[in-house]
Amino acid sequence: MSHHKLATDRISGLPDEILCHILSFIPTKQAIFTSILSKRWIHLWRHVPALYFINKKLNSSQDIHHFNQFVKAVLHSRDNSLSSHSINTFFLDIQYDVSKLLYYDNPSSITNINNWVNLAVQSKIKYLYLYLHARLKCETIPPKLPASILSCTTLVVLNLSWFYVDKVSPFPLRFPSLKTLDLKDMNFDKCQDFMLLLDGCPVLEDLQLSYIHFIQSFRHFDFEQFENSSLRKLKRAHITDCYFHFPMKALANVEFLRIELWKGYLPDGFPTFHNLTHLAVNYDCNLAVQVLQHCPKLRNLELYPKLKYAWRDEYITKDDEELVPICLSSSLTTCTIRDFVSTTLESLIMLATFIMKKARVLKTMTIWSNRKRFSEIESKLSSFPRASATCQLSFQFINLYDT
Amino acid sequence: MAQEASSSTSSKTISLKTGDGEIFEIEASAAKQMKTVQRLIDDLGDDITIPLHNVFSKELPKIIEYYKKDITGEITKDFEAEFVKDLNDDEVKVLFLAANYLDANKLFEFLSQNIADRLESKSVEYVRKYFGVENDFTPEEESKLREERAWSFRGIKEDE
Repeated sequence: MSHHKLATDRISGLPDEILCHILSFIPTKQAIFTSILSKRWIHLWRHVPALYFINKKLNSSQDIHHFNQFVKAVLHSRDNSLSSHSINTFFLDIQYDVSKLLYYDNPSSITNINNWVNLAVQSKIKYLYLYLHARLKCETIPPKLPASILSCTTLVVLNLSWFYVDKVSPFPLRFPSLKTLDLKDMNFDKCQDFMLLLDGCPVLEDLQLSYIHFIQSFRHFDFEQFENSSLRKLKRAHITDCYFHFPMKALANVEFLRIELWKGYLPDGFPTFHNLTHLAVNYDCNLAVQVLQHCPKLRNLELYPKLKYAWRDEYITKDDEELVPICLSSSLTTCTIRDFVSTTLESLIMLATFIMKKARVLKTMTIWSNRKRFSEIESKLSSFPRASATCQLSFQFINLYDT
Repeated sequence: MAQEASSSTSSKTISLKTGDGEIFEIEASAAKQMKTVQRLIDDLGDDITIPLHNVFSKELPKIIEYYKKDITGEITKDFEAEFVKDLNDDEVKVLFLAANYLDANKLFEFLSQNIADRLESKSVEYVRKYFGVENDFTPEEESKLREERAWSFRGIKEDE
């Protein structure tokens, strides 16, 4: 009892910075109400260098209007404080009903985002998260990305969801400090714009791309011309639902790679991934085993299905049988294979046995499948001769309709 | 007397003594993550039992558990969720203060986030009690301030 009373007294004795630090993890709306705790706390929330606006229920023009007023009031309050405190984090996560926004210059629209972002950029923001979600996304053009972001050289983390980028000028020192880039549901006018953006991130370590689209055709764009010198520091890459030929050479130094391959990739387009220890790749593209040839130090392998309708091709070809990827004989310790509704039992077992036959230092082979298929998979695999004496078989039960 | 071989840094352990007199051991590499402890080691040497007046036997083992996982690189979101699952708000507060005193940055950041999550939708009275804040507003001052801040109060739980 007294132990806790002591703790309470000590918390109130903590300096303002530490209390602000706790407040910096709370959405701004909640942080503001701490201003009525006591006189000491009236202005504490203004010293929090982070702004978080989270609202998933902007369903009417009125909702949007109220939200805009709220953000305006917050920014105005902070502006008035005696010593203006800079913002290093701006986090916006909103979901709105697109059908309510007929024109983007409607006063109830979200074009206020431009103003807020400009303010953040002026404050030399480091961590910027803008997540827009629209309830009815199809056939609508996402809002245009505030141009000031593209010249914000202080950024360390940039996470964007659902924007349209129309022009990116060549500027190699665009983001000299950017370490994390996460783009989801983004439309670029041309492929060049997207590549130029990546080109301006010389110290990037983490890259996540999901649903990137180009409005203009990129059929004649040569992705290999892309100077990949700027992604040399990249450690982790996560590329899914991107139906264009991402330059693989740019990923040569990564340690962790999750990638969805599809027909557009060529077997000889892969560099040697000399640092890669963890790879997650879809096995239904006929290239997974080819990729393994280029991962000499791979330790963990995840094989999962991506396409709803698996191809008729075999997952393992004759050539694969002959050339054993180095990682299988010397470094691979864990392998996970995920079953799917359109994967045939035969091909799944063939894939698993191929690995078990060649992987000399494999410790665990895990199969994710449903209970119905489990017994047959288990009986076929447990009696199969393994190259590694320490290899254990394990199972995880899932719904085969989930990807 | 046989000469003792010098032990490698990886297996070296440091003795810590809590404010209520109990002694716990941690690896030297874990001690490095707690800047206050490291400073004391630098001043007093690593063969002496390091006294931690403001940390007690109730919380130190939990802190040691966290950093044991940290030095093997095993701290995951699942581990962190499990770590705080059975702790009540007061227990987290005590750990947080200890992490602050020990200057154990990683644990401090994690517990800051956890306290923020716990307090996010709590009422004003609860937060006051939690932080030990004395309400120095007159009822008039408080109601005026509440009115001004009306736009931020939607969605906050009232005390039962």
